[in-house]
Amino acid sequence: MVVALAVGWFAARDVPPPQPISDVVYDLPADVDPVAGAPDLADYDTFSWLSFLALNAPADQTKFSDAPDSEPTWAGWMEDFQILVQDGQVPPPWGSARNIPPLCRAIATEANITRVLTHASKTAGVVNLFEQAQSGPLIDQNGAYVRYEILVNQPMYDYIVDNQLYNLVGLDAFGPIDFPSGNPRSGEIGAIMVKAAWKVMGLGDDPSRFHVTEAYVVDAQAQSCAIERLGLVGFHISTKTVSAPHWIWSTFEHVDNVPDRGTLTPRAHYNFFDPFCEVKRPGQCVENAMPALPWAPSNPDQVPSQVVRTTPIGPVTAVLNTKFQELLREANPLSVWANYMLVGTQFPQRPGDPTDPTGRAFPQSLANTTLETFMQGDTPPVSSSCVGCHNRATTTASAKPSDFTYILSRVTAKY
Amino acid sequence: MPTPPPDSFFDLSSALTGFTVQTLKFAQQNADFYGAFRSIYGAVEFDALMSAYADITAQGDTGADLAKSVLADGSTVAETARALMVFWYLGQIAPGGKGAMQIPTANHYAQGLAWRAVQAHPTGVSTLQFGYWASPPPPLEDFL
Amino acid sequence: MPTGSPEYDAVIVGAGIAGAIMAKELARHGKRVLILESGPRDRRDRVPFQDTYLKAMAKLPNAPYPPYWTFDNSSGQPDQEAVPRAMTAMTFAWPGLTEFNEHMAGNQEAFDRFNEQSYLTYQTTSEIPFLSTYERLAGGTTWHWLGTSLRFAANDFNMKTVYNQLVDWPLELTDLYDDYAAAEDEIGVSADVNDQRAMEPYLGVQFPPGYEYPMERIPMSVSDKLLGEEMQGLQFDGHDLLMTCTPQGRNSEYRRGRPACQGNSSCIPICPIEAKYDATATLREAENGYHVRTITQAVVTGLEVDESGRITRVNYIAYEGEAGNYTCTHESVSGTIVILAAHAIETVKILQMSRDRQGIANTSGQLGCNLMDHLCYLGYGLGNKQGFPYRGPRSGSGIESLRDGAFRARRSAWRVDVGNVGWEWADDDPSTSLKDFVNGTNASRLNPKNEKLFGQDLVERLNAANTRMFRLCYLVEQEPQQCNRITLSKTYTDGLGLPRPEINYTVTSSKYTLRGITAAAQMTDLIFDKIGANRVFPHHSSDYSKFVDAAGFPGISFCVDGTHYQANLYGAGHIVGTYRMGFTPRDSVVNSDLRSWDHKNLYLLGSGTFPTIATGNPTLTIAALVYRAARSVLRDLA
Repeated sequence: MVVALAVGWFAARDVPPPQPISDVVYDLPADVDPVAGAPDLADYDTFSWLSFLALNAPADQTKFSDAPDSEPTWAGWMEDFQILVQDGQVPPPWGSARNIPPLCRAIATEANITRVLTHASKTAGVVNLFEQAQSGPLIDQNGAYVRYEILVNQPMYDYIVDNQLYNLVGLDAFGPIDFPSGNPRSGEIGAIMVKAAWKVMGLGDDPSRFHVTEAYVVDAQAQSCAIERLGLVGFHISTKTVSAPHWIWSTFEHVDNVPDRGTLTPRAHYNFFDPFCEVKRPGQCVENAMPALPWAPSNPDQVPSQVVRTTPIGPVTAVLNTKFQELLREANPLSVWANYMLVGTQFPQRPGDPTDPTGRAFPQSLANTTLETFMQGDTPPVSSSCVGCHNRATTTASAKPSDFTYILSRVTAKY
Repeated sequence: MPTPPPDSFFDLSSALTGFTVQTLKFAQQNADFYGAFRSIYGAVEFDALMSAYADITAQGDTGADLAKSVLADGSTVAETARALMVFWYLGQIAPGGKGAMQIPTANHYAQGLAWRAVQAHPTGVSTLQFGYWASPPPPLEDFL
Repeated sequence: MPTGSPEYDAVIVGAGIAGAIMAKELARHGKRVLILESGPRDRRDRVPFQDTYLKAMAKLPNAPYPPYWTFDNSSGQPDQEAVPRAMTAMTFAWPGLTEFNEHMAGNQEAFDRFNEQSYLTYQTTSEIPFLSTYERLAGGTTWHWLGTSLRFAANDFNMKTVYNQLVDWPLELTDLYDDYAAAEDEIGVSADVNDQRAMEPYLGVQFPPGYEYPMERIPMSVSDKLLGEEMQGLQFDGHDLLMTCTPQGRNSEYRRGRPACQGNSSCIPICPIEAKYDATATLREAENGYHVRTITQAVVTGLEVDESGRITRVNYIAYEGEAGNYTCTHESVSGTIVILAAHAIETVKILQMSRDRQGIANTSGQLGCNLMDHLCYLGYGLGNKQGFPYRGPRSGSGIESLRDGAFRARRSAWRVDVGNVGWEWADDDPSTSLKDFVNGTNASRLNPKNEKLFGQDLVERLNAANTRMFRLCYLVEQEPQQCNRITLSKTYTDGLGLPRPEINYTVTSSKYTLRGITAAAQMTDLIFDKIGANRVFPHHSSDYSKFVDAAGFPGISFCVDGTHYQANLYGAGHIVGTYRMGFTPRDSVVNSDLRSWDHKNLYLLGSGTFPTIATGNPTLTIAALVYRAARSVLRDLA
């Protein structure tokens, strides 16, 4: 296990990316690859970007240069609802298409739509939407709810299925949960989770700036389903590796999402901020406030969320963002992927610290404005910390740690 | 982004508090003890403490001897040194060393060393997992 | 007055646990429900509350929540705020025992000075301030409750019949079995029923056959297990001293979207991760799932009553803005049923303000009377062995074997809440001891030689003291007395011009209560003599088991059974008795369905309905009684 003892002031380090990247790479990194000694922030941020490129590379084996946008590799992964089966069921084989819910079948078209978006808040479950809400929904400038999906890669899926972790009998019988780790020596890829935030393409949105998809959007409360065109606005990659048994937490956003607090630059359109909010909706522009209750996507007169970024992206990360965005534009001047930026990477500085099961994570807090909108900041432990929150994930009645995934917390199948 | 503290700040703090420089650096990473102490307690007093420290180290003292000299009866910087110890331990500081104590930020409280010294975590901030309280904590050395 | 059918099937005042559960129950059955909540709502996912709490020098139950009041910042003034409430901080402004006797006892001017700053104002006949507090915001006081979810014992309901003391409840424990189960499910209580059944020799049967709690128990802390072992063999008043794992309203597994407890140890005043239940969970579900409407920042000013005694309208002030600069509108709403769930002080105030402040619902004359709390007696000391406190839920175990017994014919009973956070409550540790060891002071009494330590010595001394700290809190049952009562102040108002409560409060007028306090002191000596208080702690030889803390907190001085005692007392946050339920309209404010005797479409929820405070923490019983009342409301609306 690599023990990173270099505690530091990462801002102070003079950064170029640690290795020269002359062209877009398409291979997933198994683990962080430090330039020298213990890995530091720049190494982990580079890992994040390399993961982003590999995961968003075209699924059909073409290249970024071939088209501005295309279906990424991870879109074919299995989603949480495929794991969360009913009593007596077994999750479908890897690669199976998602079930189109009965609600959506009536509007099913010839079009090859396979994506189904059900989560209306980050952690909302399908069984009872409001049993899950530890946070509120995010509402875009057009009054539409942001939708979320959670997917896992094959090593993680296989581990869950092979060990029967999709029902309570299996979970109880199984020992400590320990997903496979990416191994830099063997090149073996470990468990990866992806969480994506999507907004409906609407008035004021320029779809050519987003990675877009068509999906069935389910409103479980209103018992309705609609086909929508949505753009990717937020993207988490969580990767378990040998160097980071607490996982590496990488988070990306669309560059048009929100301004930094207090540093508004005039811009035609933000996805989740309106410079003229006070004029249009006096008194309804409290920054980063959860929407008024009740929360229901079908309610008329939704008040858009007024979101700002409270912690600016750090200088190390900003330099890498410019570098990788340029790389993507060099590959294709119209590449939608160049409109995404790394917000940060959270990683364990001292994985074996017996006093801290989060491994002295750095930075202490990290938030994506589309996924942890309302819990930005640096107040422990309420402000968003990926590893801090996922460290609380448990499964079974004896609260067995679930190795940092809430998917196993939500298992309800008894057998 | 706050200025990185000089090594001498950590060395002195380590001698005073009994904690390793490594642990102090982790604390400083999340809460600016260095900058906040200087600005709230007073730059003049703080700089006097640091130069007293420089003088003592120049004489070859280290560790406990160094702390003893700084804290000795009659030392003009003893009061400042003790205020710095309380700040490291509890995140509490009185402006100018007088009047009511305050906690500058949530992280100054949460990074306080007192909790580590008692093999626990700050009340209100745990990174531990369900049921940890049913077993004794790791040995004290692990917290230092 | 507008006519026509009411706008809502039910108007509920208060969005705490009682109001939220009632709203969910009614709306689940298709009823149109409005909640009026006087305070604001958290729209930032606890972040500002937690931030305020962590920065607070005094980490008191009210610390995270608005309106704010601290020693050095008196800007939160009760005459300016729209929704001021009782504050723990104000009890610190009350003089300690000695100063009280010298300067304040009965002194009108001294009382005036205190009352100026305090939301709760006092008559000069008060000998102690009311020691407990509550919150006025959506979610109510469950924001800062501990989570202790004990059922009451059978004899708690029959004190008059069994012991010829206090009064009986108009219902029995067995009447509440199903409602306790419903409340335990909604709150999400973690416990092993066998742990609780082990108390049957002392408390009688508390569960029907086959009952299981919703979640497995929360494991006991190292400290609790150690104390339990060390106490083995001790008896008091003929009962064994047994350590029992407490049923707790905090998750022992991931349940309903909330995580398992992580042992942040700050259940009071805030669980940062919502592993501990609070009523915002039920409220969200009522609003999102069942179309309940909540209006926050709506302060009810009174109820209107027609000739037949029915409540016709609920009048309220909707306010916006900041203290001293509110924009207010006067509003009114009607409901077929009106339900007050505004806690034991505000509910009384609303009824007393009604009908031009002549008051309603008070044929019995009991409204506002019988104000009670569990009087907290703290016993604390050092053990021989390290228990490693400051780890785990704030309290996870208790001594329950003395909650009932023949002694109740003579003295009040108590349960002992066993603390898990060292002397934090009693002595503000580890802060106080750390400052002592650094500066050479002795406020903690752990540094009698006034040593000034640093480096490794400092670490080791702080560790040696704090890892051995034990703290017991006796929740002493207080006798219901007419003289302990709430009325409307004729002098003092809040920021909306509404009268503040005026309280008369005494403890020493009940020998029954006082004997409970002296018994607590005796048992503390028994325990700390056994666990070896202080025999290993270096450089010290005096007794750590303390009866009276340093001055500066309200205390009482009394003579009972020929012996003189002094005791500092703390509040448990259990505000009880002010609109008691009873058998007849002459002896009580509500019946056993919590319906007002005087007004057939008015229900009053909460611990104000308890005729006695009993020996368990009240929230679970508050919730259970809501299910009982909800059935009655649904019958009315059928």
